[in-house]
Amino acid sequence: MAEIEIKNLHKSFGDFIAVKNSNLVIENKEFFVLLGPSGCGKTTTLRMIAGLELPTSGNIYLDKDDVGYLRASQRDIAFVFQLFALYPHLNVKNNLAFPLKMQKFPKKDIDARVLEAAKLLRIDHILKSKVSSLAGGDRQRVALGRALVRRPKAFLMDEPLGTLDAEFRELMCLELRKLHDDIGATTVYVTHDQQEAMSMADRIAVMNEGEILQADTPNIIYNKPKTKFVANFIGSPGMNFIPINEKISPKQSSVNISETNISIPSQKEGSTSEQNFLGVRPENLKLVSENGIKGNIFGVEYLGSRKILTIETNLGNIKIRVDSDINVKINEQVQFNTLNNNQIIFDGSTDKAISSEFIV
Amino acid sequence: MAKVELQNVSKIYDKTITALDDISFTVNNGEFFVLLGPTGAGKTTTLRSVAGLEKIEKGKILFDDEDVTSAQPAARDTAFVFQQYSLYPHYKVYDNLAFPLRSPLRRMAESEISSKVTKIAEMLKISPKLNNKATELSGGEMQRVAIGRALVRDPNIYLMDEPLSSLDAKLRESLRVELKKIQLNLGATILYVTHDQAEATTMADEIGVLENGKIAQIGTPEQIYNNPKSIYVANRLGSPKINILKNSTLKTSSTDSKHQLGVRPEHVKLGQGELVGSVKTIEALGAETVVELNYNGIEILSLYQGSFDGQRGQDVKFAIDESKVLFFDDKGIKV
Repeated sequence: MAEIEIKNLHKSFGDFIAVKNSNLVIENKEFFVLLGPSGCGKTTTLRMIAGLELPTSGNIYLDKDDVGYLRASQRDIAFVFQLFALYPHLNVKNNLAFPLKMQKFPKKDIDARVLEAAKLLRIDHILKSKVSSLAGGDRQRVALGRALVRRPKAFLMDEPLGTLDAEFRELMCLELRKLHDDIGATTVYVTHDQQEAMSMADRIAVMNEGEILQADTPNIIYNKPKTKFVANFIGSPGMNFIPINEKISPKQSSVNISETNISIPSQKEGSTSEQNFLGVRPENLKLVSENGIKGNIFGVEYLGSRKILTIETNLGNIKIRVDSDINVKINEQVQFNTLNNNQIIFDGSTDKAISSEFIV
Repeated sequence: MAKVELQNVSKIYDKTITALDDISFTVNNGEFFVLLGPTGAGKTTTLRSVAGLEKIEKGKILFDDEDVTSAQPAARDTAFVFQQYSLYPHYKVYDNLAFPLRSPLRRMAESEISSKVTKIAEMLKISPKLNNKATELSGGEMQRVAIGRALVRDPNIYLMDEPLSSLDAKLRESLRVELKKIQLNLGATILYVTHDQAEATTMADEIGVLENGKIAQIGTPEQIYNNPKSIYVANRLGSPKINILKNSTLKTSSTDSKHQLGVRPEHVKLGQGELVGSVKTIEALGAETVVELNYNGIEILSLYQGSFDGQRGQDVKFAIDESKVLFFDDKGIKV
């Protein structure tokens, strides 16, 4: 049971501001992901929650107790680093028991907890095996188990799947999420991989340059991003931004781009800038035979169940997601237009979404 | 550039460990060939054998029909890009790119070097950084320079060992489109190894799927995805993975009870048809949603376009596109 709250959390290293006055409430039992590019402050935030780094200012509450300036060992939190950090000369059981032995638990309790964790992770049949003889997946489970035996209030994980094969990573994502649901602890998970974040998180906080830009469910983050950065960072590929050379007024419901009329959701506010952007997801664009924006095919990426087309236009490169049976050749001339009204207008001067019937 | 051919190549370590087992394939001139497989399948060993960095025990390696099996690495004239960028940190980007051209063996004029370096730097979008030291670059830029250092040369073949795997997901995505475009523009012959199926299907003209040191299948990305020869191959492509079901799970045209069915998640259509399953998990990925169904105790994955408005535990109707079902025998080989 743990709710984690950070309030006006700030961390600087000399002149460099790693985390800027951040506020966040991570609810009990939530799988919460801190997502962003390298250097955005996500790991520093996590390390401050763990107690491996002290804040420059601000507070961290664990179930309403201010723990921000306590030692790591005084916080009831388990930190999972790269999952492979095991003692190779010890067997699975002793690897699992290690953190409890350090804390001088009675032997009987240790045995019970180790068995419980091993069963949960389905490694109870290999307790006597040497860690060095295990396959990758089992090793990973042992490392997780070592965090589990402490029964912490919260798990903090820093890119635990970063070094794994793509295929194996996908599998471990599923297992981690199931494990989280089974034990019902709060998990804070750091990654730069938006797909990992989308597939596991209850909520995602997208960070950039030390700031939390948006914290929402995967669906909202994906469909209703509040800034251009979030819109581009989430999605594979990210959102397209098509330049609009006009000021946007309230109630406006179409724009003219490259002599093509494109409908947009009715705007609630106007823009401050004369130069704005139409934000549109690749799956919300379609190829058309007339009345579309013109361009040439720059790249065709086949992904099995679908294709991603990159179209070179005088507005920049635009990505469209199409069914995989659509055949186009590189350098072929095509036209495209929007498929629906799920577009967002971003103000050119602030890079923020302008509220409309689609996005508040 | 050259056509590169491997004929029945085997590599055995310490007389006992077979790393490569009778491998044969051809990379045609101007072709982008990707070897795909998990860690330990033999991808890197194959690449190193082509470069001449490993001696093979059996078989032949031909460059434009000429046998180079016993030729030294330098004589084979290949350009290798490693997973970890290995640049000269004290050199400027320009000099890192020019380095392979300044080899005394080449005697290339400085003006020619300059024009080649400029052209490649432009293609890789690192022109503004030409005067930076290698240590002043981001990871993505360093890897571009490492790729560029191979591309400035005109070797028989470019050999690339997971060159994008150490980069951020976003950067990896944009570089794979660029790399494919550059390969087309240069007409380059590339042998590229990866464990990332998206890299394989998006860039390859042909994919060779490796399984324990053997070639399991060679074909275009479409052929391998739509017509895999075995369950092993079917599992390598597709995200989420193909459903492998017992024949008794569904009514099909096959009467052989030993047959197994392969059903791609996108061919499990939710909200239509006669079958009913309960929703076990919902994974919203943005453009699509992965829905795991429980159908009579069997897990079936469905790939739904857009966001799925269901709840866990809820019953949903689903249909399976029967024309798309693949049949495998009890050993996992395509029937």
